[in-house]
Amino acid sequence: MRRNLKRIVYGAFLVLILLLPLLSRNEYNLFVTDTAFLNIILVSGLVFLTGFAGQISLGQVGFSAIGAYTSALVTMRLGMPIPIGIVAGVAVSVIVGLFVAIPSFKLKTFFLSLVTIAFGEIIHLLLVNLTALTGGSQGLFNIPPMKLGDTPFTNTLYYYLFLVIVALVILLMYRLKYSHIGREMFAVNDDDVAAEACAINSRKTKTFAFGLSAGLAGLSGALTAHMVGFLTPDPFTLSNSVNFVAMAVVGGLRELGGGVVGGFVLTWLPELLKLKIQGFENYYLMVDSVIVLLVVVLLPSGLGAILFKGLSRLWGEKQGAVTLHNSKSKEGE
Amino acid sequence: MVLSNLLQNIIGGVSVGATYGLIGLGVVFLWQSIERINFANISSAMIAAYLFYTFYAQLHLPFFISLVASIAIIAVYGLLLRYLLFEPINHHGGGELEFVVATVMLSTFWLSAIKAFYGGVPRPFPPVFGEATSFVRIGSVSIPFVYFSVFFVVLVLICALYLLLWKTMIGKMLRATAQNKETASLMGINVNMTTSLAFMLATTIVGIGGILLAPTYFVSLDLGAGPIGVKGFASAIMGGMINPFGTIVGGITIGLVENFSALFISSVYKDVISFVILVVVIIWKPRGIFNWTTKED
Amino acid sequence: MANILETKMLTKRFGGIVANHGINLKIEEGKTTGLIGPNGSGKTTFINQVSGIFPPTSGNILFRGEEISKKPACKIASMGIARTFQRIQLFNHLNVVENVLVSRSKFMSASALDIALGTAKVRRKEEAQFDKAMEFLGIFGLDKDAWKLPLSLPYGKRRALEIARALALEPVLLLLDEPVAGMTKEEFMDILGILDILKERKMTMLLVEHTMEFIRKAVDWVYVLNFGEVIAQGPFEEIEKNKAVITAYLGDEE
Repeated sequence: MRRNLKRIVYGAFLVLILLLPLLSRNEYNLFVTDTAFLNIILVSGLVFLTGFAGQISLGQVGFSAIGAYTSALVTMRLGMPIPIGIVAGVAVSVIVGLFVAIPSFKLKTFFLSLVTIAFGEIIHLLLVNLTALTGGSQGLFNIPPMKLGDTPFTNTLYYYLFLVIVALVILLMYRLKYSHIGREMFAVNDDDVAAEACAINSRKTKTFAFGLSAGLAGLSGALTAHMVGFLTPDPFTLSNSVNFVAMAVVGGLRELGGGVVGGFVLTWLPELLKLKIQGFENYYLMVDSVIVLLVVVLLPSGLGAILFKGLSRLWGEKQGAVTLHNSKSKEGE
Repeated sequence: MVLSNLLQNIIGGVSVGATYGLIGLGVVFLWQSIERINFANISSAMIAAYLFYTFYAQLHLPFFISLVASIAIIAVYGLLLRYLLFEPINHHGGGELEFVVATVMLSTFWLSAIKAFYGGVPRPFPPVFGEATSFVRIGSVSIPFVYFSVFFVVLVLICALYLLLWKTMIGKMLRATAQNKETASLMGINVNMTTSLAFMLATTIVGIGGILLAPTYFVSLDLGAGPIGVKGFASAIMGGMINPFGTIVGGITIGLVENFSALFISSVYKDVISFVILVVVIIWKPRGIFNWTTKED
Repeated sequence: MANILETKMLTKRFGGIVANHGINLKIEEGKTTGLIGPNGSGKTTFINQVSGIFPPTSGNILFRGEEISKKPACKIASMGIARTFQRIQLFNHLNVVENVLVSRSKFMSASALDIALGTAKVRRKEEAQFDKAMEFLGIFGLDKDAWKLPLSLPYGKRRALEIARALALEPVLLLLDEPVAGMTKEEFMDILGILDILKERKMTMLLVEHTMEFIRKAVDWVYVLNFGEVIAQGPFEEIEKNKAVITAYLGDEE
């Protein structure tokens, strides 16, 4: 295996993303990239839930909303510092996620998707109607931004913060994937009856997956709340849940980097479409959905799958294992 | 006054509910044929309504031509759906999840395409089912004539469907394939043809449903959007995803419950009601309201 | 000789259909017991109840004296009952050694936190289980195929892998549901060989089969099921002469 080539490529990539904000000083581009990072966090959780554990969820924005509003309220109404708010947001999302796991014990795909859609819609309904708590359709304003001393974070600072968080999220997923927990996920995904026959508690597995993905969605939401400074129920809709699932599929459901590829590509694609072509605003949603459609139809395993398999071949790595390091294979090259 | 409201709501609920049932049939036919859910099922309704509107109200083509053209196009769309979406996904190794994402994206595409070309403002549907001002008098109560004419068309359609599925060779082949593909093909049935037929039948029925819903929902994006699609799914689930009559009955139930909750509780929660029904039925009675047997037994 | 498994009046009803009716069955330690019967006689339903896929309608299942009929499948598997399925059910997206490793999960006493932190302890345990999994593959001659995907293996090897995966659970009782269905003569002999290896290891087994040749060579004691009831039991030589058994199988050629 050409280990050195692999190191060079990943090293160059690392240098690039570390220097990116200094190379391109465009504030808007930075903001979009910051948003992309937040989406990557959520979509990584979705890849874990849907791609690894095989549980469909068309209601992830519900968890995102819970994280966002919890953190906002904890910092605004209870005067807690932001890190506490974020931890609270993640904690509440995880707990709710554990409950949403319950329908998945008996329901599969289509029927499960309907229940998750219902969950998302119910959260949205609560956001709009529990006005005393959530500010209703007006939402919450003046959410404390993250500060360095007395100055609020710039887009650049958010960039580096989110980069670190994304890196930690990917590291976590890496460790989980290449462990018996990852194996249990994929087993339950392929055949939950056979998995049970191998002494795997499929309910525990599904619950773990839902909890983890809910937590990541909540984290994403909480960070958004403080970065943007205000919250309304508007973005927490079914169509955005669908967009996130599209990111997961386009990125690569069974890929560790599926969240990264999908989150990045599908956050930037609509922006590029909007910017590049004049008067395109009316048509960009059309083109965007067609592009996603084409990727899903022609490359259902995702762009990430093509990318990482290509890279694997580039540095001569053996393939075939999902939860084991391919270097373990003794078959040689 | 209360009586007139009550009667209006009942008849209106039955009428629009029966059309929800038609939307549900599109879901059921495809599920029985390929064991997949088409999340863009409702788009066929919107497309057909807009096609008819374009031909009849904008291009001023004769009624019959407009109708036939719309239905023909939506039928061909069903075929395209199979060969441009379903087969390629299968071929490239995608399963239920990828099909769900693809059809959801397709639904988004149709909504944005229609919005781009027709704008987001609802258009009034040409009065082919009776003038908006014509009423039927039952005692002292006035019921819009449209409720009756739409319901009548649905009834005719259901009878036609029944004859097709139970009394013709093709219908029997369709049902045999739905029950068990392998056995059907061993018996000499051209499963390839019946699958295409199922696709086309699904989009056509939903398309006609769209044209029938347009008087109530207008020629608008609402015809292809989430809430109404949910009503189609709910109807299908109440029919156990297998029984056409159960689906229609389920749709009528939803139509009635909708109207009565708007009357007695609040119209805000009208759309949520069908959702609640759907979730309750899924969790409680996944075989449909009367325990229609499912394929897996 | 202890009874590893015993069922008492085991009955399972599906709506109006009685799939198992009052089955009394004993499996002795270290022996290979056969369960045969024509198609639809309730053999797989029996195995499904013992392995915990669904509970019986009435009756008892005693595993080493303990009542297990209400326990979930994963609990029963971890208590020591492993099984294979009528239609081979492997994890097709995981490779051969990973399939076996799934069973070794039970022996990985590492928590999610340990794994998240990536401790050396976890790495050591994973290594240990990997070696163990390769051992099990070795028993069945599958170690050379460790990195292949199940669907790229021939049918016989896939079945062997399924059995290896079940064995990797280190069970006390192994349930095999029609292991040689649809096999060529060669594959059949391979599975017989596997069975010999299992017997050498003194594995207690319940074999559900349809193919008489296999049962004849493999089992010590046979139960015959027809229409959900046990119509005969005994050594194979007696069973194959039993009138009731012959009648049950009439028209059921293999």
